[in-house]
Amino acid sequence: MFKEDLFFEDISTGMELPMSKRGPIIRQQLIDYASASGDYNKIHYDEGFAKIAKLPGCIAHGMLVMSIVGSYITDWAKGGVLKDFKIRFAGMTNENDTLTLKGKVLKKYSENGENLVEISVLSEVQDERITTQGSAVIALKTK
Amino acid sequence: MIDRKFIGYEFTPNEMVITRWRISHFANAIRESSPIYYDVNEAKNQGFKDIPVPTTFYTRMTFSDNNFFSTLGIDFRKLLDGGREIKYYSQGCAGDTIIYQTKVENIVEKEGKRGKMDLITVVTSGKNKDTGEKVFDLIISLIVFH
Repeated sequence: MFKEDLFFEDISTGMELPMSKRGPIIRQQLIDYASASGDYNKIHYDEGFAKIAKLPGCIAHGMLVMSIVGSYITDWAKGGVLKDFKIRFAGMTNENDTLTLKGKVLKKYSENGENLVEISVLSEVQDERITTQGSAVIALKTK
Repeated sequence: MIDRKFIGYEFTPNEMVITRWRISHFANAIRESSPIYYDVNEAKNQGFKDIPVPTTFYTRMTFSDNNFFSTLGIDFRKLLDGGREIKYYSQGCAGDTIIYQTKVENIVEKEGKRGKMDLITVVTSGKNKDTGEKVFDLIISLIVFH
């Protein structure tokens, strides 16, 4: 997949990032993430255990969803350097959910010799319920 | 209620060697499709010295001490993960050794819909062991209901 680098000049305040879909988040991915992150809480991959914990079924790790949002950001800001990334967990992402990722440019500015853009990002599941919400600051190259 | 004596408390530092395998293992788990996380030549073509870490890789270094929760006396049944923030100072790559240390930045009481709670801000800072260069700050907001 070939994609051009993103430049500071290409950005305008209020512009939207192209929407992207990731998933569905299947059990195997939850197991893979437990292994990669070291978070072995069984609510993420043992349905019986999740139900004892009064959950509808297995739920995705909040940090897995943040990671997918992070991947969405770096995919868009190709050639840029991420400076700050924050996420608030707004709701549960369940097993087999597909994430819709959205973002918007909040502002662009220059500071300490860097050309920065601040964006808002969020992830939604099928019924347009928001599961994470956050923002990021990225330093971009100039032409 | 969490004991306020822990405000400013620093846990024992820890270190982790970032390997190519660890990165590709993590990248696969998040279904990252960019080849820079799997192929060192692709990474170098993009200007990295080696395979770079994905944005949330440092999660693995969230607490420098495994006894974080028991030290603070946090009851998991009353715990809610409010969110994360990562500040990046320099790019971590395979081959780097990171020294990281967790500190309790602040504990404040708040009142919400579910009653009184403690909001604990925890910061884990990572630096490159060889160069001393600061790499990241990982900021965690934990909510513990009374």
